[in-house]
Amino acid sequence: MKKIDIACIIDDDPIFVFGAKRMMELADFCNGFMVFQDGRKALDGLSAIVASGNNLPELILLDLNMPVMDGWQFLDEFTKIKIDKKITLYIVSSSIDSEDFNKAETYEVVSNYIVKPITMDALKDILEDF
Amino acid sequence: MYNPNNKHIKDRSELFVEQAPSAIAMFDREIRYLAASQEWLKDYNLEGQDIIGKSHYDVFKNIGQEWKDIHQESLRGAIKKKQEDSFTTNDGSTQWITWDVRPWYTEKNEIGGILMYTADITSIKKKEHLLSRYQELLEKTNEVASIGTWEVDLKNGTVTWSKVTRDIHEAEEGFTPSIESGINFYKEGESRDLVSKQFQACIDKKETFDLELEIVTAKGNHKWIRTIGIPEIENNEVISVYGVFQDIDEKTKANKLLALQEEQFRQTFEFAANGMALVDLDGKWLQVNQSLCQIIGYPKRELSKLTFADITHPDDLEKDFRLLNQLTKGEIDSYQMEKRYFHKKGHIIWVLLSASMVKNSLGLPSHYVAQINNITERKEAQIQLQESISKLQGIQDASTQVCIIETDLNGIIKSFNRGAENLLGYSAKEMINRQSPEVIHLASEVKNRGKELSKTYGIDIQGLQTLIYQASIGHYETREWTYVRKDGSTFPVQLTVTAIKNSNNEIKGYLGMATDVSSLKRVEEEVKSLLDVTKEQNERLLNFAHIVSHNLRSHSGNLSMLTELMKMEVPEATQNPFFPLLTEASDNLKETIQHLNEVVAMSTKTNDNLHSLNLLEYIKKAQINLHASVLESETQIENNVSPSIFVQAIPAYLESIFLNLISNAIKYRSSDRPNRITIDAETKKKFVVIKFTDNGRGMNMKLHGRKLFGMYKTFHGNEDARGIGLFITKNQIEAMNGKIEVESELDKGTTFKVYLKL
Repeated sequence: MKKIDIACIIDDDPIFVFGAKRMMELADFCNGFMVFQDGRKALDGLSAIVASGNNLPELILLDLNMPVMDGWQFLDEFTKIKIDKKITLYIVSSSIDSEDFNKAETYEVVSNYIVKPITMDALKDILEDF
Repeated sequence: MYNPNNKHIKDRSELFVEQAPSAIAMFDREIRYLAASQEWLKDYNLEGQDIIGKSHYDVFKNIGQEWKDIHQESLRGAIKKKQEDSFTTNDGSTQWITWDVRPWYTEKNEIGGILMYTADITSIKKKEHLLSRYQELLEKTNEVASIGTWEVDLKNGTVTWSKVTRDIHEAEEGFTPSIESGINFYKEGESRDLVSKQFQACIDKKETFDLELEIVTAKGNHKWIRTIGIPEIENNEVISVYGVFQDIDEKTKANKLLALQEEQFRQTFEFAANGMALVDLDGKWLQVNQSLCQIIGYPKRELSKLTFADITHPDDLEKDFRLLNQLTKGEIDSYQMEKRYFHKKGHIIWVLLSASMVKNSLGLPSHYVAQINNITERKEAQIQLQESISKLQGIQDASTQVCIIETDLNGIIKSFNRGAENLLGYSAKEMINRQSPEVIHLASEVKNRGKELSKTYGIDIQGLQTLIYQASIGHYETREWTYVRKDGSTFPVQLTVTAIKNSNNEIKGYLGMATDVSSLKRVEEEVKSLLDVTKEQNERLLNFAHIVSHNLRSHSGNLSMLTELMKMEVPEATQNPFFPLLTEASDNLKETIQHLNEVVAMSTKTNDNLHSLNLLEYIKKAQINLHASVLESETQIENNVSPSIFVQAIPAYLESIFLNLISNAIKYRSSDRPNRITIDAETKKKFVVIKFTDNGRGMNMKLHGRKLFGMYKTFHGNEDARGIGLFITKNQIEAMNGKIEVESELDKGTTFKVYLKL
């Protein structure tokens, strides 16, 4: 089983972020975290990393419903950035709307859609696919 | 001069002359009266005059020279006489006489004077004249009447024909007939046989005959003649037969024609298609034809006992009598009237009666002729028409909320009903024949509509044409317009314009019916705004549901995540009695949110298309999904569904419905008996009925029936009960145009019947 270097969580819900981080630590999922409270902050942060040539995260867990810039808007902007490194992106949302499911499929960059709550099993599955 | 020597002789002669019974007068040589008989005096109107001794020429001043010459001749010894002679009397009239003038001799045998004898034959002469006139007349008459005579002399066998008789035979002038040739003129057959027989009978039995027979003339023409033969008898023997011969051809032919015409008339009368009757002056039926009998249902013999009044409707009687009276008095020549008879069966027959009067040869009324046509059908149609017209009129008048406006072809208003007056404020009087409907329309609307129509039909349509064009080409047009009242205010109407056509399908005008839709408009606007509000609310609600479900999901997701983390990181906490309660609350919350989401999803998805799905396949799918619980509950499922049944459904719904119904039957199984589910399906009309029958706990339908399919109603106190399941099932079935029914008995079992479209 591979261990992820840096996992990025983009979510405005501090409880989820707390829970997800703890689960990843418990599962020995990754070496480090990168957390953004909304799409805009994430986009700015990640763009800055790309520009500085620093280390980009290998995995992004993206929430859809967020203030300022939501998950979809983030995806639209994020796909415009030229990145050489392969980044795996998961949507992690509490939405079970089929419209969201279908929309997610139209983004090539989205690997999968995980319905909240996130569980240890789900994290293990992600690692296996990695 | 008086000669006294002759006195004695003179006296005697005088006496003789005076008393002679004829008109005699004795004159002396100077033609002076010596004596005159009474007759003379009478004949020459000389009575009471003393003419003796007076000169004859003094008495008759007009006597001409010829008489004077005759007198002188006679004095010389001549005897002059004339059978017939005329002279003009003193009063100028012609007198016919026979006369004799001769001398008288004295004893010495000398001529003493003359004797004149005259006899007035004027009356005889007149009679003679008359006779000759009569004869002439008779001949003429005979000629004109074509009556000739004939005679057969039996002694020498000669036959004599008068000219007329010869002419009738068309024989030549010199033609001499014989008995044989005479008879041969008669047409061979009946005519010739009859005349031969009768002629012989006339000779043998002295019988006269009078026959009307046919001859063939010398020129070959056929003619009807009348011949009368009379025997002439001498010494009890017929010596000749004579008689008259008359051309009756024209008369006979005329008679025959008359007879034919009479027969034709009788036939015409009898078999005429319309009723005909001769009615006497008392109104009795003298003669009626078949058609009349048919019209009024009486046989002839019954009708002949009745008068026309007996079967006439009492309301029509007075008029009929009045007209008949005028006819009888000669004030009118004929009359026509529509009247009612009672049919023998009692119902009313409408007829058109035409009556005229026939006068006899004295010019007095003889009888009436009546022509009677059955117009019941027409009349009934007319009455019906009148009724419907008056009904229509009634409707027009009664409706005070509908404008009914009729126009002619040029759009001039011809009728304007009460509703129009009421709604528009114009009176019918100021509109009819004066205005076109344009005046009550909003000009801008008419203009815009005109542009539309012009574009549609490719011709220029404006003004009045805008309102009637569609109707004029056979379309009904109903659309909303704005009407303008007399006071300038407006209101919306729904106007239908139709063409008025006559029976030949020609357009005679237009009818516009408009309803005031102000209140309708208001309601419509209200409904519209209500709908908007509802729509908005609905959207808000849906949004709300989404937000709630999403946000709740986030929180519930966090809760379960936290409890899981807690289990891993603080295992001793699970020993706390609160922990399982917390976990359960978290799970319940999750499930509730799940259902809530399903409900929201369902109400937004009902427009999905239906697919034809194999029923058995979907039931089996549900069975497989529930395999674990079926095994665990030791449920036996008997699936009797035919693989050939397809239903119209949404796949996800169908799956969910079967899953729900089967899992319900497992959940609410009876603990007293082995659980058993039977699934059947049959087609009923346009539906497939799928029956899920279990032998589970069942329920009291009286208590729970109505709440069964409600949201969040559970009845069993079973920890698995979700209640929402049947609510979703019912809604899913109904979204696919189906329905669900339930029968259940406590502790016996439950049957759900699902109806889905074939």
